[in-house]
Amino acid sequence: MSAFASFFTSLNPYTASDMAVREKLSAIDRSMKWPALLFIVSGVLWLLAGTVFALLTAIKATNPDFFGSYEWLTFGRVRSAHLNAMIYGWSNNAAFAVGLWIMARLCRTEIRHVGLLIIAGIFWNIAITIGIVGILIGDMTSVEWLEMPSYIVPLLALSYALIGVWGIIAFRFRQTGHVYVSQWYILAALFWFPWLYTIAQIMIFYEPARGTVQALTNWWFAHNVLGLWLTPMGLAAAYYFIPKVLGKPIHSYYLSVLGFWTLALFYNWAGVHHLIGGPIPAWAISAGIVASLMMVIPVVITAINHHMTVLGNFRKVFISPTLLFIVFGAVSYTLVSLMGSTMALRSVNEVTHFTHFTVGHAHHGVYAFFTMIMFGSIYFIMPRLLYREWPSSALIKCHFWFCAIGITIMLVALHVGGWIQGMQMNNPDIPFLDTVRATIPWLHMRSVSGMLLAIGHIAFAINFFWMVFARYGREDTEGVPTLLKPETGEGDAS
Amino acid sequence: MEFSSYIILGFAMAALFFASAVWALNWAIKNGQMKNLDEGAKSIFDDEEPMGFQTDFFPGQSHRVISKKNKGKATS
Repeated sequence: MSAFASFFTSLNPYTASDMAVREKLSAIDRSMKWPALLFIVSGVLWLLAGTVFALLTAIKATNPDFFGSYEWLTFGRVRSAHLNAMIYGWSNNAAFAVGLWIMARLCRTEIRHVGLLIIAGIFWNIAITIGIVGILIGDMTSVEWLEMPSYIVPLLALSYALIGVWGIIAFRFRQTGHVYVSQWYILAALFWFPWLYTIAQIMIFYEPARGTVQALTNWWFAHNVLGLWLTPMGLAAAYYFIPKVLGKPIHSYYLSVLGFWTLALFYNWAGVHHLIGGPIPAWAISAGIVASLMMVIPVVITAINHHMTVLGNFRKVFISPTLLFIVFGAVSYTLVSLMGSTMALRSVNEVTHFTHFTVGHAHHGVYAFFTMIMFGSIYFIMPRLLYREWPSSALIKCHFWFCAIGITIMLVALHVGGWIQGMQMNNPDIPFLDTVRATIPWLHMRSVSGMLLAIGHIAFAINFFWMVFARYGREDTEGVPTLLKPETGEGDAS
Repeated sequence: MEFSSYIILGFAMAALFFASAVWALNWAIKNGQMKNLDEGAKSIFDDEEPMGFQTDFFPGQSHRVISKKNKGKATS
């Protein structure tokens, strides 16, 4: 027992003599303070804007007259504004903050030239703002996930390049020999996103490919933004925070490495399943279906790893905001990916294609998986950036439960409603208009779930800005926040 | 350009993507990244946030948790 105790004492920073290591780590956190704050603040603002667009869109689906007299608030425009605000505004800003912060920490090196990073971040957000305004005033393109007008694309691409490059340079300057699996995911994602974005822009807008190749490029891009940009960032965070918060290494590190490489090899081909039944070569669709099913391998590997690590530690999950959100996200990742592979089967796709099922699936991926993991990561990162605790426990719980219940209701509504819609549409005896009417109760349910999510987001935003502004200037006066104090059991235990 | 040439171009880009992943995997193996995986799994822990300790709590809760844990330790 004493050997056990002395082992932990030797790991205790307050007894460890290595002050230099501790100072260096806080220097790394400090180097990311302002850029991470910029990205998270912008991300939270975009999240709120995107929620407003989402509610407008959801209500318009059942009540078309709602704000119907303003042409810049018509369904097509607010729907695209919602999508772009959430993907490029919220998700990308959150991924920049969380990805670069984890990268810097794992490389044990500071992020270099934060001034340039901050300027690039400001320009990225200016570009998104112009892009969303462009969508609302009617300049949007007709290509899903790329609706922002072409005139803003060069600025977006340039700002991205100046943001992503610092993650890659931090990797070049890494002080550690071993490359942790999260570093692989982040490094790969930082390369993959510009690759996807520039090729899609060139082949669709600047040097347009002919005919259905545009559709192929479009879905290759849109699916891969989720699969090769948001997914790796989300998984990197899960692979870092789950073992980190629990204080216990991942269940099987070997499997996590295998999971990364199988994702890197298979995901790229999967997007074609969006065009099942479309006028493109059948072999291309078959290749997409095969790749979609191959994705079962990395998904099952990741699932085993995440869930086996958490198994037996549920008490710890419920006392940690970070784990609460991230475990919810990890469970959603398993479900959404296995459902996605199933949806790629031709027989299943016959039902789900062109229905609300697909919309539900998209929210399952981007919200229940990615966004929940980003929330969890932000709960971990912010106290370490500001050296200050989250002001309200109640608001965190409010945020979690409203979002968790809200998104669950939305997923049930869209999946069940979408499946019924698909079965009815495949039945030639049912007039088309009846299939549309049958979706209305489900769409009402979606609007209600959207309101729950909005309440959760408002709770998050209040807590967040309260933390950023309220006690400004008082840091360090009360020492380290309780949640940053290591579990010494000395001095602070009653 | 014709449809077929676009398909070939697209396929070439995808193959290049695949090749870059293979190249990176090859680098990782040669670099010894696949050895000592148990050590690698622990590389996320450091002196400030060591292994064996939970590092995140609801605000204000960690004291309670710590004292509970210590009681358990003292009696065992």
